[in-house]
Amino acid sequence: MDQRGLVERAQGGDHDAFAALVDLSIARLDTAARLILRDPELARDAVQETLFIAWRRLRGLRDPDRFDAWLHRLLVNASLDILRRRRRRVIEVELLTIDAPTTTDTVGAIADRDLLDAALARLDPGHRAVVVLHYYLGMPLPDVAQAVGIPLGTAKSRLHYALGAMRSSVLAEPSAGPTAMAGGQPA
Amino acid sequence: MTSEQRFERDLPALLADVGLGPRPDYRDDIVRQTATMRQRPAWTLPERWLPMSVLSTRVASSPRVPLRLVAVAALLIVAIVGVLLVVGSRSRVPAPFGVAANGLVAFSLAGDIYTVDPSGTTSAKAVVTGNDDDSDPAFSLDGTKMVFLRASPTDPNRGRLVVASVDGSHQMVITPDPLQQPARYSFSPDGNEIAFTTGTNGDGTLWIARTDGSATPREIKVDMQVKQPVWAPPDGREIVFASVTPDGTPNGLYAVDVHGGQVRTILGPVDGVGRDVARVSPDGSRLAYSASSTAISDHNSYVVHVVGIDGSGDITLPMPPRATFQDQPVWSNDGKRLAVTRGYAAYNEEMAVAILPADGSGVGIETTHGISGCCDNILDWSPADTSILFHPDPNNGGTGQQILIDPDTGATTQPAWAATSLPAWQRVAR
Repeated sequence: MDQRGLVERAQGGDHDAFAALVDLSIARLDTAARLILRDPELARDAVQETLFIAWRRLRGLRDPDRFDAWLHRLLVNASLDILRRRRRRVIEVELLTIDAPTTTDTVGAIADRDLLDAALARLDPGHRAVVVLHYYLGMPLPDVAQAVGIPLGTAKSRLHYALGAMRSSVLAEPSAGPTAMAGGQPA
Repeated sequence: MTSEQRFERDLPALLADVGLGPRPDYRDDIVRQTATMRQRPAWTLPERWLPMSVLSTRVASSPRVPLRLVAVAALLIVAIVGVLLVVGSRSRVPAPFGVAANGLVAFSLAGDIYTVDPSGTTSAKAVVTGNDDDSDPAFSLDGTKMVFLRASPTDPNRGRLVVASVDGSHQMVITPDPLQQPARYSFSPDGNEIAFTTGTNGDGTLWIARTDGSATPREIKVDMQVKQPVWAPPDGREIVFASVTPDGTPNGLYAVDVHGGQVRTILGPVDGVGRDVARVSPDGSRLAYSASSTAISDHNSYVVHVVGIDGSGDITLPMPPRATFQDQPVWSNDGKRLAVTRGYAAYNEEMAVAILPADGSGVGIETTHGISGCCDNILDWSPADTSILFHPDPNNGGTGQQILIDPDTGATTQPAWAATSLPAWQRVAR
């Protein structure tokens, strides 16, 4: 059965259909929440809250084909709510040991997941949410704006800022400090 | 391909890699817990009726702001406010009557209260939420507060009135004991009191409650059944109302002194004439009302009159030749026009809303026919008189969804919000 059929059955109260929807979405939601929240435990909380709300309010979804967009919006809301509730709590971000690139090739540099991870960590959650929704979950920018609850222009400017910050951060990282260059020379 | 383009191209895969963790091990917990949860019925969910964009109230986390900068900004604001207080003492709230600027529209949906900018530039905002069944908000005349009805959880025919700030904060229950069908509630001109009625279908006993909850509501004894009371401009010293006989027939129009309790007759009862729906002009000099003839039994016989507040100079507002009746007059804020419901059939089968001059000089303009059926249609002019918010009576199988009417052309539009509650439009300073 396709996803639309599962959503319609779940809207009718079929909990097995909802469990199938959970199976289809939980890994994607967990990854997105990890990216936004930078904390696996908080990500777990956000995904749980998202799916609880989704089950409770599923009958309010008018267009079953919009299930994914709706779910992503719930996830962003849950994630940002968690951050607000816990804003006094220090979120531990894993400190990185930054390995130098083996070449000066840009693709090689940005392919380093740790560099990107560090760059992402420097963004505030609102900017991270826009990046994650657009580039990881593949949502069109108007849908991103709607999900985050901001005007389209703000979403565009956040994305522009976030990309610029990540790019400059990633590309500048090799020469940013004494730990960045452990070796390596142009081929 | 530039490095920027490569960066964007590779970003989805890189993000997937960065965010990759072990397969979530809490799937079974979620499935087990949701199996014990009940789904909410669709009709209780606003998103079933409103587009997601309308309900989108989420504001993303703000970027970190330097505290020092905030402190400096706060000091500057305090200084500016101080200067403004010294230099200018002009209030930024509107006068209680007359033309003002259009503010928010408030409405209720599925037990929650929402506000929305009717210009459509922002989303509807849920300002009172929770498990309580809240409905039918009304703004104070200075636009700073609202009052709404909170149904008793144990008896749907009883409820309490709650006053709150426009953003839903500072909620205060002003009628601690649940009352029988409290209705027709409205703020006094100074905003310190609320008049309302209780009884079957909201008509019966007149009460006044303090908006700060500092006293129990007091009954205004007039020895009559009170119907649709309104504060009389300009000072709210009197409340004007139509009386109802014990069998439900409307008759005279009266005013009661709010503090002294004396009742003044504006138009006394006349055999065969039922007077109803008294509305005082914004300057307090005139009264619009409906009158029907009990001798006419084969069709609705209401016509709209305008009379001096002292009962003198009664005129009947004209109707087009085919129209059968006019009812439910509501004054424009400039006092020049009245919006009325106008019927073109024996009863309520073919209704229009008409906007006509209050001096009786013409039949005015009207909407298309069939805009509503029976009976208790409610109209509210926008504070700037640029629009009329119309709540068609839902008791004829319609949805009761609010409609916007252009008072200059009679054109109707569906508002961006989906509300079935009584119209409420906030007055703000011009």
